[in-house]
Amino acid sequence: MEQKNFDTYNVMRIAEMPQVDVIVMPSGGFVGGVGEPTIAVAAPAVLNAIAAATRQAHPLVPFEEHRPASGLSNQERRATAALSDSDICEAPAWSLSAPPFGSSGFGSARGSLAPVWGERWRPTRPPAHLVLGLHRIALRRYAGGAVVIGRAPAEIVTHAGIPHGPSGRISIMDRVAKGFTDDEIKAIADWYAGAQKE
Amino acid sequence: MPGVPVKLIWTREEDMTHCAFHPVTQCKMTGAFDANNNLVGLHMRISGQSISASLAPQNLKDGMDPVVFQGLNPTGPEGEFGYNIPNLLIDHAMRNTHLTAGFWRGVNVNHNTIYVECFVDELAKSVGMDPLEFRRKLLKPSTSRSSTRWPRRSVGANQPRRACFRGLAQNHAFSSYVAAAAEVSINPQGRVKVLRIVAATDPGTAVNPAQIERQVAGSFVYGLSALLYGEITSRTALWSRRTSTPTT
Repeated sequence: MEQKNFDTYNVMRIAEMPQVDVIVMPSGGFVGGVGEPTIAVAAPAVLNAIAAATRQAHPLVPFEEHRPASGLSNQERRATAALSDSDICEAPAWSLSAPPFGSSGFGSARGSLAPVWGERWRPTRPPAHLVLGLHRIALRRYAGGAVVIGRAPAEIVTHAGIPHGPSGRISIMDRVAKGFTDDEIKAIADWYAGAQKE
Repeated sequence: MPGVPVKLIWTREEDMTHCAFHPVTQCKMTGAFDANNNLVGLHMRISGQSISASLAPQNLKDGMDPVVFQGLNPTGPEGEFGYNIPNLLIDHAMRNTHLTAGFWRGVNVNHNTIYVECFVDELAKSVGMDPLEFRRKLLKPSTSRSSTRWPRRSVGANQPRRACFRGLAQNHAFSSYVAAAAEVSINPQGRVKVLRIVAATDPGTAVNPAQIERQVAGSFVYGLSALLYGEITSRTALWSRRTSTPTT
C-alpha cells in the first residue's frame, strides 16, 4: 500500500468555502447543540438550490465519483467548486426583477427560468476573499435574545429548564443523559455570577 | 524489547480500510394532498444500516433502533419532526451489511434532514408553491416562529448578487432550531459553485455567541465536504477509495 499525502485527500479546500452569514437568534430555554444540527442542513440547502437550477432532484449523496452528476468527474467538480466570480453567469431576469419574497420570490426560479442559462459571462474581479484563499464570515449578526452573561444565577437555572422544542415538551430532564444535570447548570450559573463580580 | 514503548501510526490509507463509516441508507417518501393542495399525509420509509446494531446492539429495542429517527421523533431533544402533517408514518427497514456503521458527526440527523427537506421542496414544487411559504404553512407554530424569521432578515433582504439559485433547509435537532439558505450558481457546463450560505441558529440560550458563530461556519466546511467529496466505496468489504484515486 502506497502512502500518499493530504493533497490526495478529498475535503473542501479553503478557496472553495462559500461566504457564510451567521445569525444567532436564541429564543431561550435549554442550551442546545450547535454543530451537529448545522452540518445536517448544509447538504439539503445546497441540493435544493441545485434542484432549483436544474429542475431535477439529485438522488445520491455524497456526489458520486464513479457516476458523476452532470457528467462531472470528481476532479472536475473540485475545479467547479473553485470557480471564480468571473466564471459565473450573468443573472437571469427573474433574480433581478422578482421581489425577494412573496408569490414570485424565494425559489421562484422553478418554472420561470429561461430554458437555458445565458451564454454571456460577466467578467468581474473576484472578491478579495477568493483571491486570498480565505473564507470569511461576512455578516455576523446577533439577533439578541437569551444570553447568560448578566443574568442572576437563579434566573439562569430557571431559563435553562424551559422546554425548547416544536411541541414544547422537551425539558431539562430530557437532556440529562446527554447534557447537563440541574446541579451542573446551577454550578455554571454560580460560576457566571462569580465571573461577573470579578 | 520488553518495557520499551512502541508507537504505532497507521497511514491514512491503512486507517481508511478499518474504520466505521456513516451508515448507508435510502428513503422512499410519499406525500398526499387534498383537493386544496394541503399536505394531508406523508409516508417516509428509511431503509439501511443501523449504527446501534453495529456498535451497540444492547441499545436495540425489540430489534429496532430508535436512534435512526433522530430529527424525526414526535418529541424529545434528539430532534423533533417540525412539520404538522395530519397523517404521518415514518418507519425504518433495517438492512445491515457486513460493513460497520459508525457515528459520523450529526449521526442520523444528516441523512434524515436531506430526505425531509429535499422532499419538502419537491412537494412544494408539485403544487406550485414557493418552498419557503410551503414550509411556513406546514411548520409547527414554535418551529415556524423560530426558524423562518431568518430568511427575511438575511437572504431575502437583498437581491441575489449574481445568477444564483437558492435552496432552503431546516431542522430541529439536539434541542436547537437550525435553518440554512444556500446560494448556488451553475455555469452552462453544469458546474456548481456554492456562493453564499446564510445560517440561523436558535440554540435556546446562547452562552457564547461568538463561539456559536464560528461553530456554525465550521459546520458548513464539514457538511459541504461530505456532500462534495465524502464518497467512499467498498468492494468485498475492502474499502476501495483510500485516497482520491480509486484503487480498484
